[in-house]
Amino acid sequence: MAASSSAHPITSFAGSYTLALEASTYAGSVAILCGSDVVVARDVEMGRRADEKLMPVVAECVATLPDGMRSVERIVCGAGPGSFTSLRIAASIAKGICHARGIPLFELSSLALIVAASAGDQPGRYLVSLDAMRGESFAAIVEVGNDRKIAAAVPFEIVEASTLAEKARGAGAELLPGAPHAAGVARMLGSVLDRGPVDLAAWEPDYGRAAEAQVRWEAANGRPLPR
Amino acid sequence: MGLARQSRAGGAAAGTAGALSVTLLLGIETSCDETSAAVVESSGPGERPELRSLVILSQDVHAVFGGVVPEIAARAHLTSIVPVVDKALADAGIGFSELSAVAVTHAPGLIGALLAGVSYGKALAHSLDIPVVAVHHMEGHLFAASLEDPDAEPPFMALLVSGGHTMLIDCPAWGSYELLGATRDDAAGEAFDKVAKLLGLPYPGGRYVEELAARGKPGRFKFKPPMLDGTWKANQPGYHDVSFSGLKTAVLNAVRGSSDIERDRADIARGFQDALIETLVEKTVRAADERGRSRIVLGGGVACNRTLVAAARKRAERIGATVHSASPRLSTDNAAMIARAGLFHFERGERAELSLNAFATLPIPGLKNAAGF
Repeated sequence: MAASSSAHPITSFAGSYTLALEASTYAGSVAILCGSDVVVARDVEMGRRADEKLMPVVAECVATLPDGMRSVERIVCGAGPGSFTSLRIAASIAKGICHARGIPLFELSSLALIVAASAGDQPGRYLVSLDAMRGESFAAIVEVGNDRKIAAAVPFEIVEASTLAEKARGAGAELLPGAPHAAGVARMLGSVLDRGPVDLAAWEPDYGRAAEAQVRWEAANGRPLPR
Repeated sequence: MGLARQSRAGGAAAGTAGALSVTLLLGIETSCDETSAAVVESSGPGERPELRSLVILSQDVHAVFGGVVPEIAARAHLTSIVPVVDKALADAGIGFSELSAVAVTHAPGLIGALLAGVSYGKALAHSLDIPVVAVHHMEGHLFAASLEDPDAEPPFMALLVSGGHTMLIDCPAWGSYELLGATRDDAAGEAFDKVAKLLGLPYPGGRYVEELAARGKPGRFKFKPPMLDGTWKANQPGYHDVSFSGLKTAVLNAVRGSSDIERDRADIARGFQDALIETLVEKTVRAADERGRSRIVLGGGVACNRTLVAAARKRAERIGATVHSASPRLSTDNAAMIARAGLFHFERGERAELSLNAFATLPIPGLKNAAGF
């Protein structure tokens, strides 16, 4: 797959390679960007199976670069919300590579990536969602401005999945189906880099929900879980 | 394929500069609620490895739940692994560029927790252009004592006792294991935790039960040591197995029947611990005697129980066997034992593929009679 983006001028990242990972659902993805052009993009099945698929695909993608892993200058990782385990696999891989190579890690909203991957360059107001299980969805309103920019961080809420269309109408937004894809980072790289890298040690995805045991404990005790 | 995951890359320790070069191997352990990293150094196969560093970060957050919460454990591993590895390398006085390989626990354990370590370890190793070696957590426990005690080497009979496992394993040589017996229900550590809860003690309960039992009167509450009565005959299937659910129920009944639990708590703890230890020790020494082993190795978190170790030593003397147990920091879950076991596989030329996955249950590699375990 080859795609390109004219949404952001190629500035400091021109000609440099970015590895993008997205795994907020069971359909993960990997992309390599040169500047803001997608040079490699792959889909990865994240569901439970005998083999873990994401790392081999990362290795295959990186192997296409002139100097392999040494060519990668940064990683951008989808930060959720979504599947706890899939998000954590991608985050762990991102941390392992960044730690070994001493390169920065950036994050962006997986909900924003749905717009980047699905809406093309069309300015507008979109309601996007990811499965939150139990009949619920993580939902967010994402704006694409006339300058085609998409914010890297978007607030989201947990809503009944059956109310998404109604919420979109109420917000004057278009209900945008689709899934996030790492290749969508190309359209957002400028705004992602503008926010700066995360703290590699402390960073974790925004899972969207606390662990169920934590929710029950905090409800029963009326205070946050002590850490 | 990830399950079969370990292939031979020839006999030599690929990844090292030459036959006389030093191997520095980073171990990573995230199977439950300890994030741990360690560095071991080896001058070559047959040489005694040296533990260069060990960092263990325990997740205290689980205490309020009375047990480990898998999702919380997995999240904590992700935010702990980078500083834990940094400290292990700093303590060893080395940088990433000096590492020869990464060894990572991939089974058994909590899937989400394991995946954090496996995914990070694979990515780290691949980025450093060095091999990754998959290690079975329980095989790591078999190696733990050997890091401190040069005599804790095969052939030996091993009792692995932790919160998740109770296994009696005959080890004629590293990499060759036979499962003789295992628990049919609760693991020994699980029994300690459940009894601790019944007695109003904190989690994890092993240390607290032992401390309380030390103040108890022996024999005042006498519980029958499980599966030691005369109905079990040598060579009968299950002869080497253990079971602690009945003992736990007996403790529950004693607690419920007590008219003054504050008065009785220590005596009940003593009675429980005496019964559990008698079963573990008798089964282990019998198995060692049956197989002609003169060494017994104790591993796993319950091997921190000094009363168990002392009882095993006393009983083993009767068959002329010695007992070897690791210090507490190497008995509980730790990456040093993973690095040591990983070194063994690394020196045999075994390498994991990038598709290496995590598994909640999986037999120890090289284990005979592993059905159901």
